[in-house]
Amino acid sequence: MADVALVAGETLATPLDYLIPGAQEIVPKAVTAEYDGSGAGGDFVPTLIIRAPNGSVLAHAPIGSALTAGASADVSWFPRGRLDSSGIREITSTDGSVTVTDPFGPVTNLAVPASGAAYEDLTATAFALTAGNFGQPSWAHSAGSSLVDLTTPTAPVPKVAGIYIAEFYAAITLPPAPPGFLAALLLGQATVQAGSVATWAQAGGSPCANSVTAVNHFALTDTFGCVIFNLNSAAGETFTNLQLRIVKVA
Amino acid sequence: MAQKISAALPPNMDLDASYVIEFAALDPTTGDPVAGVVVSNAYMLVTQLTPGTADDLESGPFMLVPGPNT
Repeated sequence: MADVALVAGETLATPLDYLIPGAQEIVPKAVTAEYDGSGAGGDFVPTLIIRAPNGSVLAHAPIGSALTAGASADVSWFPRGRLDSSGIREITSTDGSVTVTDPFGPVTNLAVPASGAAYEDLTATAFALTAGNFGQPSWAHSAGSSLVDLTTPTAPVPKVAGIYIAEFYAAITLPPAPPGFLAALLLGQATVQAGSVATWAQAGGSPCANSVTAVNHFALTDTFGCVIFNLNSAAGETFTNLQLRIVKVA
Repeated sequence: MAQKISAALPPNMDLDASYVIEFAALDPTTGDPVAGVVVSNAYMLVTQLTPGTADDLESGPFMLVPGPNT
């Protein structure tokens, strides 16, 4: 078996066909062409098409994106060549990146643990509770790594099991007398964590702020989050500047 | 200057006589051919599986590229 190079040296209109001559059998190894779209009637995608003898299409090999009318490109096709928009070229995260040089190679398991100092800050919009009621803020990512799955915004779930510190902070303006009396609780494994309870009990109408912290080991099905109780049975309360910082320590 | 673009060629395609390799310019929305696009220096490196000479592969505007041994 020999490798043979064939070229059409002229400038020719597309579609340009190469018909495999009688009694011949080949395997294409590499194909190139210079596309000139200066006279193109519209945007176009340089595409190599393999047609069976009956005219049906055996394969389309387009480049990854369209060229605008008037553009030109030198296009190379080769096995395991890059699909500009379809192949994975890079995996990124806030904790680092992995460059994929062969998106069509064997499957590789990439274990990229978050660093010991990784953290994620979550925020929630102003959160109001009616008298004697309780509820959970809806959290959204604001900064840092992506440590939790926020599919359910009221109950973030860690993406990787580990040991985490979670700290909740909020500011409130207590209503007029009778004085407000509230408790904020961090959740872990769907239960209130010991040492994570904070209460606010200040004079009515006074702004105040407080935070609570909990440390726990989290499995993948555990949830972070926070429940806020309004223990004032006479008036509603509004929380602002709601923040939840999650730190992965191991 | 023309862009340099690489794309995937289906590997291990064993093509017999009367198969066609077509350089096309297709509309990205409809898939129809776009008029007015021309190609030059269309070049193919192929493995010839059948006995015979390389000259047997010349077809249409495609001619053999003279090599150092020809």
